[in-house]
Amino acid sequence: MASVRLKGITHRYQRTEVLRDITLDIEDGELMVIVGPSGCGKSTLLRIIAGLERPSGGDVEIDGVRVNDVEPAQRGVAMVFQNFALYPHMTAAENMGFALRNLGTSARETDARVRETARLLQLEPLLDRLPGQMSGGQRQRVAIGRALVRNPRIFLFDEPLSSLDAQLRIEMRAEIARLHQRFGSTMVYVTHDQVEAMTLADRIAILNAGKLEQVGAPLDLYRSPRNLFVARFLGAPRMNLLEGELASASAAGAEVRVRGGPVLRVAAIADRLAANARVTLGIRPEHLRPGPSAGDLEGQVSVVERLGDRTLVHLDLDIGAEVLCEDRGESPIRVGERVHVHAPAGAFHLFDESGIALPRIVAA
Amino acid sequence: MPVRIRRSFRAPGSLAAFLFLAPFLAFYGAFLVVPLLLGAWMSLHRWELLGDLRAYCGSGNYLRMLRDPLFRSSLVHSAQFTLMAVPTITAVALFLALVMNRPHRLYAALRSIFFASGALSVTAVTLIWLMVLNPSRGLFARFMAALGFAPVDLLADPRLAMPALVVTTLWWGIGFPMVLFLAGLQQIPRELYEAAKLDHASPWTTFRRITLPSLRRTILLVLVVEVILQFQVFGQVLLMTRGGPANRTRVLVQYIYETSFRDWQVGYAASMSMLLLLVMSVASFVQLRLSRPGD
Ligand SMILES: Nc1ncnc2c1ncn2[C@@H]1O[C@H](COP(=O)(O)OP(=O)(O)OP(=O)(O)O)[C@@H](O)[C@H]1O
Ligand SMILES: [Mg+2]
Repeated sequence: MASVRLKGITHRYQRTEVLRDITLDIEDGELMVIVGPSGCGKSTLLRIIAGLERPSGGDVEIDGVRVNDVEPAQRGVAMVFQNFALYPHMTAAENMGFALRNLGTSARETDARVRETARLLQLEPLLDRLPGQMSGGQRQRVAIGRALVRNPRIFLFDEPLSSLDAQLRIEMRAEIARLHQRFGSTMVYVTHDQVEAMTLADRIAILNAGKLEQVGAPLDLYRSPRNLFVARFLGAPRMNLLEGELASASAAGAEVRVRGGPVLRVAAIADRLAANARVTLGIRPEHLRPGPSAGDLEGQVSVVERLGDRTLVHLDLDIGAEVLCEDRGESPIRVGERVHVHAPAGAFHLFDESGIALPRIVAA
Repeated sequence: MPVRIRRSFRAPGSLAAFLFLAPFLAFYGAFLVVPLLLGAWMSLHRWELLGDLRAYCGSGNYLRMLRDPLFRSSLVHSAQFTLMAVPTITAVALFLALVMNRPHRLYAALRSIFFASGALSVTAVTLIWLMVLNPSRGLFARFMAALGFAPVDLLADPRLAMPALVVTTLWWGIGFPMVLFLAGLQQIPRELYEAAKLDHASPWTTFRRITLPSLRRTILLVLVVEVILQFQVFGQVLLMTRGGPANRTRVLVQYIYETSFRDWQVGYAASMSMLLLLVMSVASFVQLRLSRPGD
């Protein structure tokens, strides 16, 4: 068990800056998910924690001790690599026991511990197989087993589920959540899949182009994204955005004139902005309800996606924007129909011109 | 329907394929198949190089090999050379590849330098090494002198001449196996080494458990290629020792050459060549068998 503290981590490859001033506290026993688009520096950050990469600047602390100069093996971390990195010429059992043997653990004890872990992950029938003789999901479990056997202080996962099919991903996701509950170990989990992030994390750190955008509990980030990037990144389908300008602002809320359209009431505090300031209005599809009449916005249905439990309706609004809204599973809406949509003032997010969110008024 | 369409394409297609192959086949036939058959034919005759003796003798030439002490000793010397050179070259090439498998400009330059010696002709290589090994003025003699030893004429020493030839050959031919090993090393994913680092593996353990097993096929390939190559050693020997001292370095190809072009006994030489061919075919066959895909 251990905590990890990143203090002002900066990293450069040759001249390109990959990480910029990352400061992040990961608490003992926490499952921290680092999420962000491809190439934003997630793997680099993980490799820096593992000690496989030396940061160009800043400090890494584990349990309050600066470990910048500590060898990877001495940091007490175990890593599950994106492509598993199982040793191809060793059986599953040898893969899992490799670290213990290198540490001078006796063959008997190694064997016992490997078997115990294998039982936990239901790997026993695979122990004598080479990685080449296993399926992707089996390899993934062996890779997790290899990390688990060593009883590390910190687990690092680099997109461990990215090469699995959808069904297996869901199963393995649950498996990892179970492992975390059972061992209560500190885990840093990298993914670019926001569903994985939302479902697994105690807290999520959102990384974008080498910068931390926001850190917090999944639902906090979902409800109160700090900026447009976070708002658009979390949530599938994505948040709808509408351009507009501020019509009025008071402590009770704001009114926004959507470009070319109506004035909408928004439960956000915008008095720091000038009158008529340009703003962006955000609304999640599940909060934008369609109805045949008396809505705020009106448009024509271009696509209808029926998912069974709900229906996604794509609308070409008369004001020239496209939005996505959700209706119930048995929605009667058809392509080509004209539809009105409406959302309560409390469901809107408001962002200023530079994309920073304005504080929302939480309904009492 | 599809069958008919396919068939109508096949005839012109195979003609085109044949036309593309034709230059190669002509070359292959003229310079490999014909000489091979001719050699086999000659090996069954007493056949003089310039005279007009052409007498069929059946297995006579092959039986003569069994009784010929010079043939036997030259075969032994070729085998000795191969046994010394192949493991040394393989080991040194692997070592160099391991050292130079680094992404720095310095190593790129070193790789080119090591590979460059392979582009020299045997004449140039032997000339260089004759100078290096020259007992009175050579680099080696000076080196020995600096260490306080008397100068040794390696090439005139019955026990050291063969190792000296091995060293020359190593210097000349190290580049190719080294490049093969470098290519093999590049195939090993970097994550394996990172995982090993996290798993407390020592450099030696990493080499033994990860690098070596991953290079198995490459090692096999290098061994077989080198056996085939070194069993045919000739140029270095002819130019550096002429088979001496006291015939200690007379190798098979040299004996074949002398039998043919000095003694004019082309028939007998051809039969020995056939034996050499057999040795190399066996090596190639072993390599093909062992490196079959899928294991
Ligand atoms: N060894 C390297 N040399 C130079 N640039 C590198 C190196 N490794 C990574 N980069 C660059 O650093 C940036 C961050 O890479 P990183 O692998 O951390 O991204 P990532 O967030 O893990 O992406 P992905 O989701 O695709 O795995 C990328 O722009 C990448 O091109
Ligand atoms: Mg990555």
